[in-house]
Amino acid sequence: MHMKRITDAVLGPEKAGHLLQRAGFGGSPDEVRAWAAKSPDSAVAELVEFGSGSNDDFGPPVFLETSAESDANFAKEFAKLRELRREDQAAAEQAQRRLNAQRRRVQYQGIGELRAWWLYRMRYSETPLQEKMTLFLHGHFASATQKVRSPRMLYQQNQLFRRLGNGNWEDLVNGVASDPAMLLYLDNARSNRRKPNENFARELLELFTLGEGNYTEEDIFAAARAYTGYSIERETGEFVFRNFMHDPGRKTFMGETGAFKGEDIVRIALKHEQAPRFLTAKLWRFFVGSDASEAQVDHLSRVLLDAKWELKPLLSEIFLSEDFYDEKVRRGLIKSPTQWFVQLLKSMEAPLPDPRISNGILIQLGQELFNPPNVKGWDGGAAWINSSTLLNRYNFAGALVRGKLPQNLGRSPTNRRSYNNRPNLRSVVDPERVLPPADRKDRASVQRALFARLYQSQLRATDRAKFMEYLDTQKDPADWNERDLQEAVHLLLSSPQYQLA
Amino acid sequence: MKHPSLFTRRDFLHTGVLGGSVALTLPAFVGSTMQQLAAAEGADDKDQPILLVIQLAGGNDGLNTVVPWENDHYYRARTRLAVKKGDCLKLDDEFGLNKNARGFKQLWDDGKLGVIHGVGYPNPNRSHFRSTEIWHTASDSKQQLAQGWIGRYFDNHCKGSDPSVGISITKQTPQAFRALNPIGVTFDDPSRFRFEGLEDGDTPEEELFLANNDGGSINMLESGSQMKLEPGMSALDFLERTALDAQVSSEQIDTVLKAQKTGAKYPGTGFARQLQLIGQLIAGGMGTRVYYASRGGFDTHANQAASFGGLWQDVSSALLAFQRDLEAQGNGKRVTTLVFTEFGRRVKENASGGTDHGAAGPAFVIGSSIKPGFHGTMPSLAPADLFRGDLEHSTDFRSVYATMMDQVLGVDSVAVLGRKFESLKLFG
Repeated sequence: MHMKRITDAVLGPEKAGHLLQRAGFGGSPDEVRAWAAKSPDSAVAELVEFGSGSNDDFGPPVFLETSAESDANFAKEFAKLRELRREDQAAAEQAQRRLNAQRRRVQYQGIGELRAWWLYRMRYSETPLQEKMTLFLHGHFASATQKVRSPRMLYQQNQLFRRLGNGNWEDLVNGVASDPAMLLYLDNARSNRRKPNENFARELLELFTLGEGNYTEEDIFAAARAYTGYSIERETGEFVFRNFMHDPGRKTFMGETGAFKGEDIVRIALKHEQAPRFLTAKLWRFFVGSDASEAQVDHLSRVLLDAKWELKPLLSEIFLSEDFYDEKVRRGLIKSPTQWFVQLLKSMEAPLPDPRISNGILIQLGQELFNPPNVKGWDGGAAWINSSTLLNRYNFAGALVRGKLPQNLGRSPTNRRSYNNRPNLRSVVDPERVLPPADRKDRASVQRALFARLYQSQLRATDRAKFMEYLDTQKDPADWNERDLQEAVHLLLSSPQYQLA
Repeated sequence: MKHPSLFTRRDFLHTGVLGGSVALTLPAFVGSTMQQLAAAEGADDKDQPILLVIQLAGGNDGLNTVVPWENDHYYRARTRLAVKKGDCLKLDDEFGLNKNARGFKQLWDDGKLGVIHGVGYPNPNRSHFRSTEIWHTASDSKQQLAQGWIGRYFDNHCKGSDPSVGISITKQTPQAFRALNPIGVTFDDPSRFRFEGLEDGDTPEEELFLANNDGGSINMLESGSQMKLEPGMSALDFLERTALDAQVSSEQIDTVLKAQKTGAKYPGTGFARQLQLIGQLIAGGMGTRVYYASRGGFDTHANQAASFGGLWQDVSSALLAFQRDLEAQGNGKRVTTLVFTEFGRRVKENASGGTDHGAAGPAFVIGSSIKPGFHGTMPSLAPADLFRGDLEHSTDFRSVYATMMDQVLGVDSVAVLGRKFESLKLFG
């Protein structure tokens, strides 16, 4: 089958708003206007063609500069401990506990900086699809700080996703298989020929490449043997292949036999007919919000195989297809918490709040970055929303709009950490920018301006009518003070419609 | 104890949508309407049985929980990790509890703990996600079911109920709650479980908020809450429905928690707080039939010795506190707790000081009406009897579910499980 492409000369505001939300994190009215004037081909090419760092003027997160030194210091201290243990076991254990606590504090701070660094990129990046793909891959190849601990490793993994997010899938899978954070997260760093640890091998087939039901337990065991010795250098935290831990014997994996290493496992697994289907179906769900039909998966899989697993043609195919812009697809995807948060700031043209506030909000909404709930990542879709997270979204929107720090932010029954010094929160609504005098001419212009800014769409007639009814009860928009505007914005954010992209 | 009258979805629809503007936090409405509603509320709510389901997420190592301290196969397979004979809390001349599960030992001594040996299913799956899905949907190993077993209970046996007929104290709604007609509420922090945007009073802001969040175009006025949700339900419909449920439930829960401060003592852990909250909701007379909670951290692939004791210290002491709370409330007999995990772990320990994903393991039931002691038969640990190094199951987990339906909730389990599974003799 063939997938029809859109034929519009230019995107126009509704399609541009849709594309920017799905392939990125939305945009301000000015940004949407600029993209609306582009032809679909050039818009999509611009999104998909993000480079390998050429347009990267963000620089690395701060902790990286100091962390090499502090890592080395900790390594030295831990080495001393090993000597001390021979002399005085009890003293050594006490010192170890102290050292562990110290290191955890340093790591905790590093992770906080890393989260802020990534959110900053999502908010300001000129290659939004690069950050969106990085977020997709973070959920796909999930690794969590709770187990990995090292912010440096998680940074490296995040950069791998950013570098290869529009690259070659086989390279990406191999990159992940020798990624220190992943080797720690799925216990492969210690896997050895005597007792291969199956954890990574299982998830490689089940979650990363093929999906449940397309391999046998024997295949997993063979893959686990092939990955023995894929480990980490203790001092530097870099990947190392340890020959003495590796099982060099012959393995039979998915019908082929040989003295396989990890790269052979990936090569063979990707030959399975499910491999392209698994990836294309998952990408479709992420960007489109619904399950792809068999025919759509067939087509996209062929695009991917024809391109020898290069991702750019596949991404372009999705973003240029008529199906992607279908009426049923638009405004039909439930925003992830990260999307909800970043898009709110982008559409308000507001800066990021204190990182503790940002992270506190994302924790409560169910998507703390670098801390997915398990190796399957976040379920996404309807799983983002339950009665509790929906109310949280409404209330956090109110907090951001009014610049009032919500009570209990960052604290939940399972997380009692509270702030030492309370961060300040400023309202994200700058009245001059959000509703300039030109948009206050009459109520209809207020409705149009706020819908375009918040929803990136004019929605249905009934949605507009409900808001117009409200505006009719209010004073003339020309006379609105800051609070009146905040109220209106909060009400528009406290709706089912706002949760959709 | 007289429980406070509760706001129901039906009331919201009739008084709220049909009757015009009604604020969430409108005291006048609460004052005048709540009293009238008291009569309409099911008077027998406080006598209805309640089921609490708890998942030990990650795959609990059953062999180091209920330790076969007389079994040589166990000690041969677990040269580093085995719980020593002298270390376990002996239950009989074969089995003992992990020494950190002191709360469970107390429940056992009180005759409130039942241990079901070897619970699992044929053709076990070692993936967390798939096996969790199998447990949550009560499917066969090779079968994909969309709805959860508790969701099918809601669909079949709770028609017209309020959304709070099921409450999950978790961040995400468990798959077990998934239903054709989604119902049940999920939250992990009650203090955040209400809308903070509006001031009291009859204002245009409330009008707009309610117009946006009253269930939208969903037509559910005529039939109470019995609307049919097709699988192709749109994201917007889903959100509108959730928005309505959130409003009604937050009102109910807020009312109950404000009125209920049980003096019960719980440990200070996150898991204990989940149970304490459930204890308060039960004491407050919520119409909830099924509660759900979860404790993670059981995926002990590496260095299990460092974490396992703490997990069981937490789980067992929290459940002991919960049981004592219920008894002090006079609700000890009403509530049955079922504790499960998606799979047990490999009999043989691995080289990383941990254990890998396995198959069958023990499940636990707790309550004042259960028959305490061991149920079912312990699978053999002899290497020749293992399946891929895992324990073979001796009790199908759906027999446990059938028992919960037939004997705890008193409903037909066949409608929930699709076919007849033998009930266990866990009661009377």
